[in-house]
Amino acid sequence: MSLDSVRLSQPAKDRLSWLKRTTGIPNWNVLCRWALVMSLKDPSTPLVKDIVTDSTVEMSWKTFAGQYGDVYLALLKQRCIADGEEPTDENVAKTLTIHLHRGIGHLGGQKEFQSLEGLVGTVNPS
Amino acid sequence: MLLRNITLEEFGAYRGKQSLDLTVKKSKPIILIGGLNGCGKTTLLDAIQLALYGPRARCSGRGSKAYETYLRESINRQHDPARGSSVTLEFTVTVDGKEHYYRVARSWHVNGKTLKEFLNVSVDENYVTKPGRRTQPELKYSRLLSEGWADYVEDLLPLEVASLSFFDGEKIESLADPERAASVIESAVHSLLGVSTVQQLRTDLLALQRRQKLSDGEQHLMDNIRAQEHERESVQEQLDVAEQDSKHQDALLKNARHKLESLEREFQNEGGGLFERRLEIEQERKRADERLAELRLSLAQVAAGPLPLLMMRTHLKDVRKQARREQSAAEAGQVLDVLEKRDQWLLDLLPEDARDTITKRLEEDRVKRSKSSVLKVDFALPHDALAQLTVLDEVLVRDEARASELLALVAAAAEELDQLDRQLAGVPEQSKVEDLQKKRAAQLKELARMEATVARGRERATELKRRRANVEAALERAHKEFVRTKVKAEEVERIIKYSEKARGTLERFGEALLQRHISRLEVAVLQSFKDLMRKRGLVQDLRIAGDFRLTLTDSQGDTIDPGRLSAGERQILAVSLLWGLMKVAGNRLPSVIDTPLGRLDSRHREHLVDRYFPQASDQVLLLSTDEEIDEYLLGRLKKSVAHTYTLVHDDTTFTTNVVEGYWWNEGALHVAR
Repeated sequence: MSLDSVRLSQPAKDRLSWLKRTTGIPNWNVLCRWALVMSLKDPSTPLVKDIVTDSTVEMSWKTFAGQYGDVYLALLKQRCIADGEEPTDENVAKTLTIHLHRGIGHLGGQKEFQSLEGLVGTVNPS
Repeated sequence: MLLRNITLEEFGAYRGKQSLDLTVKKSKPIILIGGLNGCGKTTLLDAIQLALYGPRARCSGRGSKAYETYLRESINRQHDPARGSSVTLEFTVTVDGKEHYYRVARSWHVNGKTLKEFLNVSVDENYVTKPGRRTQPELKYSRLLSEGWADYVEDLLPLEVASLSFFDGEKIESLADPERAASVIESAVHSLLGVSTVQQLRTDLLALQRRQKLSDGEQHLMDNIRAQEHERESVQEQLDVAEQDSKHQDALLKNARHKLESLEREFQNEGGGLFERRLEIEQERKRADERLAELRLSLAQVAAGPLPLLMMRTHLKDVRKQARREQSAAEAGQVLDVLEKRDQWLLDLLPEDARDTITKRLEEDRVKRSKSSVLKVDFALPHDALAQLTVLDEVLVRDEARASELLALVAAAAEELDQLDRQLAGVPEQSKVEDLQKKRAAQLKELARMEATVARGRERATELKRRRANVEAALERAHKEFVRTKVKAEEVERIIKYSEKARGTLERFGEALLQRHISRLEVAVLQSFKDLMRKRGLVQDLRIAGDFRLTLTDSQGDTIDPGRLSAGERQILAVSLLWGLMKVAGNRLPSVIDTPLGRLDSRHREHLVDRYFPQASDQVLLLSTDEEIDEYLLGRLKKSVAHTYTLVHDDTTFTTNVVEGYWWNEGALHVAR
């Protein structure tokens, strides 16, 4: 597994498809960034499950992270170290996959995240 | 009219040229002509009529014979027919106080198988009679009169009148029959008394009226004008109708407007106004919706940026620390080599003895430095990580503000949308006002239709007015152009109208005249009858009815049946009738009375001789036998007699000669007894 591409599981894809409608955000990568950040924010260790990235949704790291790729990568490495793992490429990719999918679960599961305003409102408590 | 002279030449029994002077004086109006039966008394009467009327004369001997045959037979038997016969009558007529002297000579002879007739009329237009002297007329042949005598004589003395004034026993006999008397009275009244003139005038007026006609061209122009007048009337009529229609439509339109207004009011009351606003609100809502969507799009765009990283602020701080560490480590690593080279260079400069201590100290420093270049954690961040993080911080500050602003806007927009939705919920259901709205729409449509109708009506009225103006202008032109025709037409109309009027007047006048004449005739006849009648009290009254029948009434007021009268009495009645007619006619005509006294008794004869003959007319030709006017009666008549003649017949030669005198005066010498 490499960081060159980011791939989603089928359930994650289904959920994201639904979220695309409810939030009005048309792009997979944008939703995925929000999902990743949601999960990274949560200090608890994700319940690791076997994540089968078998859907047709696949994007390059560059597409996923965009302009701030270095920052996202640093955050992922930080998380690896925080979780007591060496920030190897492999570990970083694993962390990405795990947190991405946990974040997607958060987005779908919590009502406030099911709308764009709710989503944006989380970062802006005012 | 007075007869002056009659000359017979080879006429009938009269041989050679026989002439009778018929001049009378005022006090002596009677010419007494005696003659035995068959001597030619009636022939003399015939001659007078023949001279005047030719073929139309009602001669006693003619019967139903052709005129030519009659003339042929009238030539004296002993005379040469090729030389022929002639009758010449001279008479005077006073017209407008002027006496005219006429001589009418009718002659005829046989030429082979044909008979030739000539008529010569001579006239003296200014004949003057001097009292006590006989003046000779200056006669001049008049071709005009000779050729048109038949018409001219009708003006002088109509045949109808003449037949009344020249009468013989036969006529008296026929007048004695009441049936035939009626027709005689009728024709007498009509012709003798001038009623026929009125009739003629009416006929002439009718002819005049019929001559009054416009020429075809003029008639055409008049027709044209009439047609235009007709058209103008019809256009005016149409215009009236159109204007009335227009008024009616205006009223309807007003009603429709009222209805629409009341519908509008009702609609308003039912919340229709709000309903009307529905579309407006919906549009507003649509706009709000769009705006919200736009805002959301902006928000989504912001969300697509680094915004989620705001949640990782603390983590980012750590990353920044790490980056710093990594930078200093990298810097330390780079300095270490440089320091070693410089340290070596310094050591080489130092004296040997000092070298060891300093070397030791420098190495210690280098170890310390190298230690700081080795990191516990290495993220392998790029060398510009710090710069990136600084930029990120700035971007995040900006995006946060932007997101916050957008969120507020989105909230406001959503609130507005909610508000609008609530308003929409307050708008009444369409079904509630639909009916009203439909009605209103229908009324609006109806109104538009009526407005169009009214406009059309007005247009039509305008059009008609224009047409009327055109027709009137054309009519005006036609009037000007054909004013003469019109004037003439009016003149014709006037002529027709007035001739119609005049005819009516004449008819009434004729009737009045007739009535007056009849009244006068009744009086005159009754007077004559009473004068002549032996039985004075027999007839009390005499009436001429509308059908000109005579009715006699006795003293008891009962009608006398003419059959009850004796033959003599009927004869007296007939004479009275003729006398009455002459009296009413004004004694203007000579009376020729042939054998009037047959069947009469002596008393009646006396009455006639005393009272009738001297007064019958200004000139009385009395033809008599010796039995009728005998010596005794001659004595009574003598003072009124101007001339006496005797017609002497020679039985051996069958010819008659006229001899002066009567049997019992000087003429008696010549009487062949």
